[in-house]
Amino acid sequence: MEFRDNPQEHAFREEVRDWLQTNRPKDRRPGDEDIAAQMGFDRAWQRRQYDGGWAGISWPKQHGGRGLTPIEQLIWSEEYASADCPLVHDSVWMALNHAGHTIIHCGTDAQKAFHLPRILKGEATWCQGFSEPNAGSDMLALRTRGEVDGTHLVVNGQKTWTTFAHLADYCELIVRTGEPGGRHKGLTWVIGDMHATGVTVRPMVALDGHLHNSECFFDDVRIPLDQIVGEIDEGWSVVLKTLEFERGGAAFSGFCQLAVHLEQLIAEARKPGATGTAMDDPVFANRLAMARARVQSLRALIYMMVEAAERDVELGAEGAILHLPYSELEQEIYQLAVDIAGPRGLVRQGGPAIGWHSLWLKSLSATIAGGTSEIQRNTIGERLLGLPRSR
Amino acid sequence: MYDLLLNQDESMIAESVREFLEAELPVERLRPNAKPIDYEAAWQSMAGLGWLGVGLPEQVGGAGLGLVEEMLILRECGRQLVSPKLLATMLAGHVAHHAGSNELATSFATGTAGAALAIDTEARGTGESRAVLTLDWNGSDSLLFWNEDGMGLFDAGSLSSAAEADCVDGSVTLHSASLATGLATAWVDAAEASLPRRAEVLLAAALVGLAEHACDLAVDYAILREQFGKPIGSFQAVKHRCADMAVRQRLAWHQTCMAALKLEAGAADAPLQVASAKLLAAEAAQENGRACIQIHGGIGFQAECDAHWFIKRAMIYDQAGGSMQLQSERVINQPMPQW
Ligand SMILES: Cc1cc2nc3c(=O)[nH]c(=O)nc-3n(C[C@H](O)[C@H](O)[C@H](O)COP(=O)(O)OP(=O)(O)OC[C@H]3O[C@@H](n4cnc5c(N)ncnc54)[C@H](O)[C@@H]3O)c2cc1C
Repeated sequence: MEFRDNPQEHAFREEVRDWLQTNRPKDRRPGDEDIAAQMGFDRAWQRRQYDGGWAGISWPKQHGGRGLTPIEQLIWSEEYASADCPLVHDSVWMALNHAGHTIIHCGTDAQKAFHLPRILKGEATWCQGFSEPNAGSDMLALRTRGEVDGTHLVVNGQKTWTTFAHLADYCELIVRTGEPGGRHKGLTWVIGDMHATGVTVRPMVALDGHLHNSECFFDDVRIPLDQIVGEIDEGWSVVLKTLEFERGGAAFSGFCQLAVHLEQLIAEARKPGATGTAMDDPVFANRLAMARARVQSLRALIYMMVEAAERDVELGAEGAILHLPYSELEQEIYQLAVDIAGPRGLVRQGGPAIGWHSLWLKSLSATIAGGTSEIQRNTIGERLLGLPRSR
Repeated sequence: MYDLLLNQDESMIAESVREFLEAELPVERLRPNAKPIDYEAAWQSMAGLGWLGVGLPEQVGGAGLGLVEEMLILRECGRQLVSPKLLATMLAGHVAHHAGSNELATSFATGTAGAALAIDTEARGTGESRAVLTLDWNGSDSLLFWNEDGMGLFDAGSLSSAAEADCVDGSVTLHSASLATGLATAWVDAAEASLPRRAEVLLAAALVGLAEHACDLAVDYAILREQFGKPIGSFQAVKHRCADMAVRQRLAWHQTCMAALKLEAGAADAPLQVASAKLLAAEAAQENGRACIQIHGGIGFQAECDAHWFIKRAMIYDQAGGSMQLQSERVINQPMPQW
């Protein structure tokens, strides 16, 4: 445990800061009400990062990434948030942090050669086809079938809550190729072409009135066998790889943005209004203080995780701690923002670029997506504390 | 970059402190019919192991290490509810050293002199005569007192109308007294050394230790105790409470580590980090202390069960060095932290 005043890190931070200042998008990112325009914006920004050599910061250099160390990735995320750069969470994010990483670690040379450059340049977007109507928290209950027919896998079934499926080019599709009911045995991770014959996507209107998630139907969709990532029937180990990235460095960028938003909220709460400042209210002041302290502590946790990655220390179940307090804090901070806004918070406008109300509505999914808080608590209780399983 | 992962030496220190305390001063010693402990001998052993002067330079009998090592020791002391005298004596060594009394610093470092905490009962007051509560003061120890101006040592002469009081935490002796803050035998201004902040980091470490032990006991019991034909830990109401305990104590610990490193590095946001640590550690110790009792059910309410000690000590350490209320004001009044 120590403070290392490392000149290289300072220099790197300066370099990142300069590049972001010059290159960050100056226009406002289109809101969720115009998802297609937003997608175009995100792709263009990704392309710009690619041209500047900043695409795929965590990817190894031989795959076209920047090959940053875990500490450098954290510095990038911090500066990115400070520069008010837009998070491209849903569309390009999935391709970069999920699919890209999975293909780098488990894909064939042909898959790498085809997909990785497209992902880096923002030319291809991805969605994650894990959840099904009867397989949510209990993901291993998934039933979408994959039958081998000659040189193809024929897929039949349904996925749901698939984020950005209606705009995605490819899908991280998990299908059951082995025995029905086989749980983690007999799963296959395959690259699904969302434009293929037999794929029907039905976008759903979410509680904020926008299109985030879709139902995806697969009817006799023929996927060439060379699109399988990893081995047939051995998809579970590939899924674990995919999820590993979701929990690792990719979570830092979202956290850094949350930290910046809280400071914006605190600054707003200090601005005098007609009836004094929100900070004069001891209840708001206390909630803001608790949130600020919790942000610091999550940051401390992340620093510990980064150092573990840097030193190749296996954290195991310890790494499962982050998601639960982070998602609950996200909800509390945006709830606080609309509470402070008072009756004005009922009106869907104002606040930072995206608007507090949008962030608040979106944050209601934070404790569901990526594993619900209840499932997170089960995991911490069972895997970290060794408590007996509930089922 | 702040590296918040223990290295091998640090893990070894923590391990050895834990083993010593589990053998010599386990919480079980506080049970109504436990066999008496030779506290004086235990104190001498801890002094002999170099704990008291671990953060002091070698020329005053210390080990020449720093706040991190002190924090690791205090966390273990929190776990086993070691007397707050240990924390006070560690800090007293720093006061004496900064005030230029090397001889006195050596006597604290080697355990020939001791110090007791004097908690200010009027955190926002400023008078010269302060109503204080002393913790485990034996009449001959120095008293350690601090406020935002600095930290000082006092002897019995600066105390008046001392009277023994009954403490909610029966493992600590309490005296209420009046302290003349102008009569310090040694005083270090906060501008010269941030000893008050150091004290708060160490209190946070002790609070984390309390939170951790409360969680451990609750988890052990949740695995052992069966109802409805199953371990109670298989019920999610119990399991999820345990998971929350685990999350709270870890976040409080990592934050305490961050606070220690930032304080030692003289970072601009050190005050924010320290206040956040003390705030979250107090919350973790209190919440975990309560949950530990709840998970034990009826036995948790009995003196013979160890579950009740943690929340009581948490209340004391919360009040020492500024309660959650005060820390939360500090957190929000600090300027925006830089990355
Ligand atoms: C905004 C958003 C985006 C998403 N994006 C994607 C995506 O791109 N791709 C994808 O595959 N999926 C996606 N999901 C799906 C997400 O992973 C699931 O919603 C989640 O895993 C929960 O599954 P479920 O919705 O079926 O709820 P259920 O599993 O039916 O849960 C309902 C309730 O029961 C509780 N519960 C269930 N089991 C237990 C248990 N064992 N113990 C205690 N409580 C339990 C849950 O915590 C929850 O409160 C997304 C979800 C959201 C909200």
